[in-house]
Amino acid sequence: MLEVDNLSVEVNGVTVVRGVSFRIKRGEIVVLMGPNGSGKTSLAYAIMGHPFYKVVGGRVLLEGEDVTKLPPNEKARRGLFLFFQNPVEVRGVSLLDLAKAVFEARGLPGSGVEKLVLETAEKAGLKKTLLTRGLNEGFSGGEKKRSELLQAMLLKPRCLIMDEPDSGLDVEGVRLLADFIRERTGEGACFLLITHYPNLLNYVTPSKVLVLAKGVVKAEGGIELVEKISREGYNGLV
Amino acid sequence: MPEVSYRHRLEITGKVSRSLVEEISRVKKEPEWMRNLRLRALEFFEKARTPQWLPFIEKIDLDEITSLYVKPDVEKAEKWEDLPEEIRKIYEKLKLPESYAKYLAGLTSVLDSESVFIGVKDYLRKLGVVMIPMEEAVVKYPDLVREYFSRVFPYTDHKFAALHYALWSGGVFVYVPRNVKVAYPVEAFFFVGREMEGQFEHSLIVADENSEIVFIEGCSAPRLRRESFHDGMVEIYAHKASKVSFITVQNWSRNIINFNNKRAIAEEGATVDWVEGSIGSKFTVTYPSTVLRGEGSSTTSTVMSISRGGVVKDTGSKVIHAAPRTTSRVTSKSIVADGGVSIYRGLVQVNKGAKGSASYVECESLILDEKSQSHTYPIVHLLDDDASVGHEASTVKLDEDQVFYLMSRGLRRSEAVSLIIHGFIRDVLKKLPFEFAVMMTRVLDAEFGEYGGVG
Amino acid sequence: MSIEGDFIGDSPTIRRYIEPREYLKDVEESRREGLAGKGVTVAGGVVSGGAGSTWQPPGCFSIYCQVHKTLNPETLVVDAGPDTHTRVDIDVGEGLLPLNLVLNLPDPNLRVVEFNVKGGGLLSAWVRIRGGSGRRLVLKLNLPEGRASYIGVSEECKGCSGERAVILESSRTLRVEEFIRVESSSFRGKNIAVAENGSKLDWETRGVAAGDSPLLHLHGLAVGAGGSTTALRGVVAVDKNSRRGSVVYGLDSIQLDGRSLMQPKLEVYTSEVKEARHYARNVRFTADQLFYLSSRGLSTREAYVLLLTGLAKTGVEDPGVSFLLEDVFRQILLKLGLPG
Repeated sequence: MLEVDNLSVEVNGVTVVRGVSFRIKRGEIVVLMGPNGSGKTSLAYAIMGHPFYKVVGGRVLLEGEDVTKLPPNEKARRGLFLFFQNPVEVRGVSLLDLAKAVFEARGLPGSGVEKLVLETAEKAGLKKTLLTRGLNEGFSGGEKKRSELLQAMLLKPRCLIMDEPDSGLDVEGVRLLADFIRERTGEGACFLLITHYPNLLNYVTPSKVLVLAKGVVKAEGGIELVEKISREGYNGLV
Repeated sequence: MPEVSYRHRLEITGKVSRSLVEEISRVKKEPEWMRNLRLRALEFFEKARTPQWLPFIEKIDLDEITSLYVKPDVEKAEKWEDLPEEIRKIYEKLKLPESYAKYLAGLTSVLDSESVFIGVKDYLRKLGVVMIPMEEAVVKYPDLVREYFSRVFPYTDHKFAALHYALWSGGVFVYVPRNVKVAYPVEAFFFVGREMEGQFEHSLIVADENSEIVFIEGCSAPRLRRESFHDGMVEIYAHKASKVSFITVQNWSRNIINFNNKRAIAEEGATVDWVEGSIGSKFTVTYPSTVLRGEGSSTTSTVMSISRGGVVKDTGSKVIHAAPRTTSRVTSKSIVADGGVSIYRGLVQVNKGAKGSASYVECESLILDEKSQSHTYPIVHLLDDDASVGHEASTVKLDEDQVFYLMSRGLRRSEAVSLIIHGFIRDVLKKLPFEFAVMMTRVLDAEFGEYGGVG
Repeated sequence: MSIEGDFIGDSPTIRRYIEPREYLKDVEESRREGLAGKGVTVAGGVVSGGAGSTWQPPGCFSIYCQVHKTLNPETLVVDAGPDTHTRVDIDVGEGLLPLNLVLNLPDPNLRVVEFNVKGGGLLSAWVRIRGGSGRRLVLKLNLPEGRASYIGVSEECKGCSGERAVILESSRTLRVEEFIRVESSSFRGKNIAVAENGSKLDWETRGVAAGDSPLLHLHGLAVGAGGSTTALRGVVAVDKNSRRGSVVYGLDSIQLDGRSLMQPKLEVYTSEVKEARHYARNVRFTADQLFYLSSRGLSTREAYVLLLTGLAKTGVEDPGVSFLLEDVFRQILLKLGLPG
């Protein structure tokens, strides 16, 4: 369960998120929408704990525990996962290397990781050759998303923040993503889904939709809010 | 071991006498401080060690240099027909208006269409921009000149800088007042003409706070020079938030040994852009340098050199990051053919405290045949650990697959090669003012148009 | 020493950090201490005296090498045994140990050879690596605090191919020279130098690619810790008469805490070259990269180990070499003061 309580975030002294609150129960999906620059990614980064995104008010609770001040890796160990919109390139470190390091860091056996990664790569539809290349180096948009998905599949997090996971993915990829979300919610994971496109929402059903504009929650509703926005845009709401 | 022809020791023969230097100063009616500067520089020149890391130059005869200095007009061409054929041919290929061509060839001392430039002179005068021959500036604005002269590039820097200061003559002084942005590129040639023709011309450009100027030195048409040794200097001082672009296009005759000392100091938030196109001369040594002294200052350096035949181009860039958040970007492109030699020497240094600085250097060299050589000698020196610096260079040959492809589309081999060369140089041409880019393109065609090789 | 006049001509920048004159003084002083230490012992191999060997280091271009010749170094031949691992213990004591070492690798199996230097005396050594085609070697060198020292490594590969990774860990002023000549064959080299405890490292490489389709790919990584200074430099040349050569000379440097100098020179004497490029980069791990790895559960320290190991493996082709290299390097990293 993820609870965000009256969270305010500053970047370089500028407030980008103000007084945002919501709760996502186990097995629930909450969708976050909003025009560009509304603060969606900043919110995601702040919840995960990026050093440049300072939480200046409010709290983040994971399974009831106040994790606001913890560094990102501690949050990750507690089951939080951020699916990046634009994952960074890391020269010389391959997906395989990363997987091994992450498993070792969690005290899990290193042997068998390679096999597991290969199997998971197939599930995520990621070419084998990309597993040994520098992470995200020269990956297409779709490949980057599949790489993020692979990691989510491997780590089995309890609470996932997905920042535009569907942009750049083909129909097949979107369906794969939807299957994953459905499977995991069935197992009790919670999702904060940041998306522009109603595409994905043809396959998964959110219990709540929030609209963020200029760092503040401007509207709350159900799936009908998504339909309204796809018809009229954000104009009426913000 | 690879053959590196660094075996000869550079010999300097002859002498520059103290009395010659004193006479020069007296004739120019210089203030005492300038005369003392010349004499101190001469002393340093005599004591300094001869640099041995310059390959390919064997001998420099000071007696010859100084004799020409005293009598510069000996053996100048009198008529168009007296010009060497290769130069006449190139003028024809470049399709230059005859009056311009004659002026360049030194046959007339006044440009016929000078009236065009009077308008621009007026414009500068109204802005308060000072642009006068360097020697005139020493006398007319002594305090201003004294504040900057030799402060950017000290004579102690190396032996030939000292020689330059002892014998300097000619060049231009430019001062751009605070907040003045000169809208059009200024071509030195047409303002101070003859002054830019010296062997030891010294140009000083001072851009006051928040000013802007684009300055063009030289021209891409071939210039006939009598003397064989050139040791010029450019000093640029860019004050806070100013922007100075200095463009040199050099295409001198094939008997010149050309030393070009160029350096700029950039204060807070200032930008200095060096653009260098080097086509002619027998041997050119030039490393435009910038010291990024003020926080947030930046510099770019774009160098293009062509070495065709027994020509050696030893070019490069030096950047010293001496303040936080400074950035530099260097692009160097060289083409060598027919036994030409291209050498790139670069230095990027990040001083302690220059935190958050970034630098990127990219060099590419195109070797067109087996007789030619291309060498790259970069230095990356990091005294602070918070900087992001990268240098990459590659040497490529003419891609026969590309040539074949273009020929299969109906182009002759020479046309295909020309096209490929243009593509290679395009980044540099983009930085030149339009007319220069056009001229450069014509020059490249003239130089390499016949370069087809077999097939 | 009359050698001085001709040779003290290294670049002023380098001499600011390692002045050859200082080295000469060190040589004199340690000579007075006498030849001390227990010399060389080998585990996992056989050492024998190379009596009458007149091998000279190729291209003796520095004062360090010239001095080495005058020290009358003893020649020892180490034949690597059948096992993967060979350890050569070199006890320099507190004096001076001049040495010419010939390392024989009998077969193309993957080998790890470890040179473990003990004592604070001055070591002046040349290591000549000989082996057949397809040889793969991970060479580990460890020098604790002590007097300035000099190590030369030479590799000759005429018509044979090979891959070599060198991992050097040093806490003293050290001058390393490397000579590689590739003729119509291929050679991939990865040099990793870790300088600790305020030490100074000057590593100079001379490489030549000659003949038909030579491949010479050299990648260097300098890790500067504890206020050290690392200088990685050299010249790699594409020979005038070579055809279809492929030459890559790249240097990466990471300053955990210290100064870095990189100077990879590339000389190309012919247009008949398939590929000729070089690079010099310093590595900084960005906040975004660290955040990404942290979001996957890695602490800052674990992230640094992962990133540095990735850098160490760059340019290494053979998976066996890569695996062993990673293992050795990781052990060094764990001892190093990494952030987080």
